[in-house]
Amino acid sequence: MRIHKIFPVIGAWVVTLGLLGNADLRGQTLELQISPQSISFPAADPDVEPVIIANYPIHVTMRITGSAKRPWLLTLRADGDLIGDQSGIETITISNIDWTATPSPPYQNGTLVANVAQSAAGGTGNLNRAQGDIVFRFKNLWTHRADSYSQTITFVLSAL
Amino acid sequence: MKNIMRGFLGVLCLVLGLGSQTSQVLNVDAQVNSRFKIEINSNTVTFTRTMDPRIAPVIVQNEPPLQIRVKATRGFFQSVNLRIQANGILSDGLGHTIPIENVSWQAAGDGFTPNGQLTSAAQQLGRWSPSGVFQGTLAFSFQDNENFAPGIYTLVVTLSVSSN
Repeated sequence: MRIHKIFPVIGAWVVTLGLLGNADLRGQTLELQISPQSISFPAADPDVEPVIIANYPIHVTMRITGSAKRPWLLTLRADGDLIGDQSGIETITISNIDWTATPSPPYQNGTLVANVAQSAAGGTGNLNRAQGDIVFRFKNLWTHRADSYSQTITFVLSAL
Repeated sequence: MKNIMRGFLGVLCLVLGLGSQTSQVLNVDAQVNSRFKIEINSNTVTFTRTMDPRIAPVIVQNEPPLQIRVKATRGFFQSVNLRIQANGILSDGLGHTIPIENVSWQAAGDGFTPNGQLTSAAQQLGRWSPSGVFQGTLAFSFQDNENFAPGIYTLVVTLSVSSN
C-alpha cells in the first residue's frame, strides 16, 4: 500500500530527470558583461542639478546561444535602498535612481525598486554580442541627508 | 490516479521554474553634501513715521511681510538653524542713533520662532530637524519714541542658516 502511494512520486522524478536531460537548456549559453562595474553620483546643488547623471554609462554586452525562439530577459535588482556609509542608518529610497537605456528595443527605461527585479531588456531567440548602454540618474533632492551612500545593483540575464 | 496527478503537477512546476541565467553586480555610490541656502523675496524694509509717536508708538514696515525660504541638506544627527542678527545700530550718519532693540520681528511658518527683538547677537529665527525646504514670512516693526531725532536711519540685518 505504501509502495503504491510512493510510486507515482518516484515515477514523476524519473520523468523530471528525463526532461532535464533532453531539454534545450543543456546546450544554452548565456553571457553577460557590464562595464564599468562601479558608478558614482557626485554631490551637487539640487537647484542647479535636480537630476545627477552617473559619472559613467554602463555598457552592456549580452550573448545567448542555443535558445532559438525562447524568451530572454535582462533585469536590474537593487539589493536595497541607498545606505549611508558614515551614519550606517541614513537611507535614501533607491527609487530615486532611474535609468535610460538604448537601443530600444530591446532595452527599456525604468526605475530601481529595492529587492525587486525590474525589466531592462527583453526579447526572444539568440543574441550575438548584443550591446547597449544604460545611463543611471539620481534624483537630487534637498530632503536627502548628507552622507556617502552606496548600494549594489544585480544585473540578471535569464532565458527560459 | 490522484497521486499520479500530484506527482506530475510537481514536475510541471519544477520544469517551468528552470532556466539559465547569469548575473553581474554594479556598485553604486552617491555623495550628498551638507548644503544651505536662504531665499528672500526682498532685501529691504522701511518704516515711516507719519504720526506723533505718543499716538502711534509702533510703526509696521511699509512693505508686505518678507517671504523666506530656507533650503537645507543636513548631516547625520544635525538640525537646521536659521538665525537673525543686527549688524550695528540704527544710525542716521549724523551722530544720531537708535537702539536696535527698538526693532522687533514677527515670523510665521512651521519651525519659525514667532517673534523676537533684534540684538547684536544672533538669535534663532527658525529650527528644523529634517533636511528639506521650509517656508515662512517675516515682518518687522519699529518701536517709535518722541525722543528719536527726525532723520533717515539705516541698519543691516543678517539672516544665516547652518547646522549644528
